[in-house]
Amino acid sequence: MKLVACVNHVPDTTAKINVGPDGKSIDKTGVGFIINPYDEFAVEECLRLKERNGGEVVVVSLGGDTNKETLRKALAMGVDKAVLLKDDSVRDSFSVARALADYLKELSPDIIFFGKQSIDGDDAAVGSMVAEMLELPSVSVVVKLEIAGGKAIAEREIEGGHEKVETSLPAVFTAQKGLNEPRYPSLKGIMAAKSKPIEEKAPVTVASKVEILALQRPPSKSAGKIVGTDASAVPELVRLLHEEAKVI
Amino acid sequence: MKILAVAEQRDNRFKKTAFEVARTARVLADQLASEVVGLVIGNNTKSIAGELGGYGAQRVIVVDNPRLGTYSTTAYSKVVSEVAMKEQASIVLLAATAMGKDCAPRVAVKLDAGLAADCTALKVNSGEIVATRPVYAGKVSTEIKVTSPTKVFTLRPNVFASGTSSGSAAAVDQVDIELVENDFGSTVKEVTQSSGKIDVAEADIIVTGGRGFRRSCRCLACGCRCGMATAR
Repeated sequence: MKLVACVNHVPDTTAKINVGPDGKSIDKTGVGFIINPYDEFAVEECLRLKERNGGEVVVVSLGGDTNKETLRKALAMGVDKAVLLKDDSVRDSFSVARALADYLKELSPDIIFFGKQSIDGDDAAVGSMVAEMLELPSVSVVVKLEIAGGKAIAEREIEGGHEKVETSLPAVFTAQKGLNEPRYPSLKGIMAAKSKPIEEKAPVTVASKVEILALQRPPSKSAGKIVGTDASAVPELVRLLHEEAKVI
Repeated sequence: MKILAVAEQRDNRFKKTAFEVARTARVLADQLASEVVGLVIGNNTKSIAGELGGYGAQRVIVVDNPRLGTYSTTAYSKVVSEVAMKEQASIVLLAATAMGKDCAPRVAVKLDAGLAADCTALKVNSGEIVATRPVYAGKVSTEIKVTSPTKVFTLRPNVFASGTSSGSAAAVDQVDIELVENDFGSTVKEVTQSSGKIDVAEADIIVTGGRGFRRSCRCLACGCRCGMATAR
């Protein structure tokens, strides 16, 4: 099977995010970057599918040179090939999707895996956009995947439950937490990854369709009120919710 | 100008978000001298469609098909974009629910439109819509505008007010959209509800607490006479 995982290089989940001087982007000083956590589930699932069905796992990232760190992490996990679509310009989801779709069309994968969303932009759009551009079916927010006889059964999260979706292959999936437990790269894997090649290509450029006007910190929350410390405080809390906050 | 308000239904009942989307479309339409057209997709949904009139839709288009009774990413995306094109809607609004977040990106590509996803506010500045949405896991928020002629917005559930229904019924138009086997590349085979749990997204009020709250939580739920969704 030809399996492709698309990965993004994003600020660490614990990083404190400040608005940069231009007021439209973040201040990257002192911010550590990691593989997008949802993309890690995508890479892991591709590796497992290869272990079960044979084939090749290719990992692709669109971005600047620093994205190579994330590609090396994927190589250390065991992917066969890494490709950097080299471009560090600011792009919206549509423009990112177009660049990825344009490259992926050449590869003709059986399965393309994304994380459900990138924790910087949080659009949750690129995977589904790429699917549409490649005229492939897609299933988003996947927590379980089974492949049999050229078809896939994907379980996805919806409000209050799950949906089991059947899809033909090739197809695009976006990974949700719970799909798998990503492996820790072995020391051997990390050392080997240092010397594995990363292919660089120039991605196609299309104009973005969304313009960022400003980035702002959210307004700070006012202090809460401590009503009590155990179940005996409940009647007073209920009274306050009813009479003061007027929410019940 | 027309705003297409995609109203989500499950089992032929509108989700709360359907009314939030219709009302938000109305608020925008009043500032942009536009018409609000609702869209309902499903099987035998004609009977509920008119309800959107109470929330600001002037007309509602119903696309009914036995195969649309269950969700299909590819089929629903095709229906939304074909209706948007037929109506020449320049703005398409959906709720940022599981369904909305799933099909909106595909609709955006079909309409060659920019997508503003999971918006928490929409305002009109000099005839242009400025959307506010959270980024970096909500650590910062961003104000954006969609620069393409056609624009798709998904609205975070439970943020935009639906208001109360005026009771007026919208005119309902049944429209046929041709769907072929290929349009059903992915289809839902089974839906399982998490047993005994309330769909948090449909709740009017949500009370949350830290781990130490767990014991008091049941007492609070009893005291307020409300359901308890989950304790992790």
